[in-house]
Amino acid sequence: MVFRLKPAHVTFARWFIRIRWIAVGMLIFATFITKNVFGVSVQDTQIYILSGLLLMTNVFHVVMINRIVKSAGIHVVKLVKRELHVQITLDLFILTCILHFSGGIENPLIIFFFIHMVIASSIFSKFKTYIHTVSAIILLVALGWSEYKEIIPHYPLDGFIEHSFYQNKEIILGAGSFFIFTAILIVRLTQMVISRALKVEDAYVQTNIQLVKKDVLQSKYVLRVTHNIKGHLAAIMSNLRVVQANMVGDLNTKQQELVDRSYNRSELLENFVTELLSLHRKRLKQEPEFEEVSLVDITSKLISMTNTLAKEKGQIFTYHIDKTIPSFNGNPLTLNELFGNLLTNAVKYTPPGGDIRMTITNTDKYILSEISDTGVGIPEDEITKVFNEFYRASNVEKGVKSGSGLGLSIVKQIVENHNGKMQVESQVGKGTKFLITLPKK
Amino acid sequence: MDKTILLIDDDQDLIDAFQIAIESQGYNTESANNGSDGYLKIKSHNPDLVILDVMMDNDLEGYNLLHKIKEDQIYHNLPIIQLTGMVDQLGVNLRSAVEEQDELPNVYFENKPIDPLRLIELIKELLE
Repeated sequence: MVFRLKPAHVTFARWFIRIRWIAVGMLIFATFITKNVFGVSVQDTQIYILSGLLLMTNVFHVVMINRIVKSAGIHVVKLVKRELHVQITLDLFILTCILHFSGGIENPLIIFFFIHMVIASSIFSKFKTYIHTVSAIILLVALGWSEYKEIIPHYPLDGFIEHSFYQNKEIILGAGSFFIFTAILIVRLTQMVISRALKVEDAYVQTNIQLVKKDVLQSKYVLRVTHNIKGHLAAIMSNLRVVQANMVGDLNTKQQELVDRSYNRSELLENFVTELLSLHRKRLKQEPEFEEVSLVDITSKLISMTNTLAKEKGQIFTYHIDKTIPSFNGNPLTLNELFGNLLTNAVKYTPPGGDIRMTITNTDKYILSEISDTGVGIPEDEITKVFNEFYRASNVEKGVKSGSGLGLSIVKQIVENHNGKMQVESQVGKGTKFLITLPKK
Repeated sequence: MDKTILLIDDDQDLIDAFQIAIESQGYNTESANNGSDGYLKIKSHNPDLVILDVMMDNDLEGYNLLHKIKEDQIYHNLPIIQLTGMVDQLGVNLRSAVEEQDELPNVYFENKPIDPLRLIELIKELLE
């Protein structure tokens, strides 16, 4: 199973955009409250205009990211990074302007600069991160310095905070150094944590890719080998059959018995090879394309087959198929194999007099199927292994030799190819229940 | 006149077994190990029925031959039993693929391996 990871950059960029919507909303709200509830003097008009500007840039970012994800192909990461540079640069600039109109360095909003540094260090190289960090520091120093020197006016937050700070050299130097020191610390720390996380993630993805490649190679190998075996087996069986049917002269009893035995074992081997081929073909998704299928149609044939089999063994077979189940996208051949396998298993492992039941129900998004029996059951410690290749329950008589041990692996692969889920519940001596959830879409 | 059945398959051991089975029922048999040889035998022996393996040397030799035979007006209605392991090899159901695309008359698909006794039944059904 491979976990396809979206490039972390896209997730970051989308998250950043979402945060910006919230931040702008909060900024407008806070400005309104500060001014109208607490009566603090705020340059609200300018802040609303800047908030609007921030909203517009965010719309631009959304459009850009969507366009990049849709059409950039292998260049996604490169272009998203470039877009993030634009996001951070615009943000820092607008944030500095907002600060200016809301008390300059007296405003706690200054902390927002750190968020951009965390984002930059998570995504960009050390060098580019420091460029952003230094730009942020320069913008802030320039703001503080210009207000201190009264090159630009200072807009105090009257009624909120002691607003002579901007003229207090010690505070400016103290706060400034603290800001710079914290900024560098945050950048270093984030880079360390993120680079480790990315390394782990990368190794994880690589391992998964290797595993899938190995599985594919294994399946291809199995297909080639089993196909070869099948060719020879066809010739062996045809020749044996001719002898067995006395077409080349009559056999004595002993000869007949030996030939019969050889033919039966060849048949078992042929069945095994066919199932092995079937399983690995499904693993490689070498199946016809999906088409509209009706479970009602598929199961109706299987119901009459199961009825006959159950009657022969003296079992009671009951079923309920929801007639409202719509057609859905699937493979009729393999779905037939899926239900056929489970029903024949149920008949095979249930003693005479036992019950076998099949229920298929329709829900909003899924089709739920349940096939249960009152058979021998599966030992508790083996229940996780039932879908493994070549699994044979330890409590099954050795006499039942016809199984290949692949039936349930095939069943599970079919369910997976239909994006469905499968569960098994069982109790030794009480019976087994298989639950299948197939999505309609 | 005795009916003649032509077997085309690249597995001589398989052909031998089928020939014994078919001849035991009183038919004549001819055999070929590849497509082009098979086509020549059709021309020279005028068989009443052809048993054709779809995959020879792992390509579509048999399938191509089937089309070549059916395109010829003289052999258009010649019954052909097409043996196929395609369902196993390619995961495609050749029967439905062919039935949908081109309606070839008198072509009967059987999955490999086929039981010689079943083959005899089928031959009798087709020729009588």
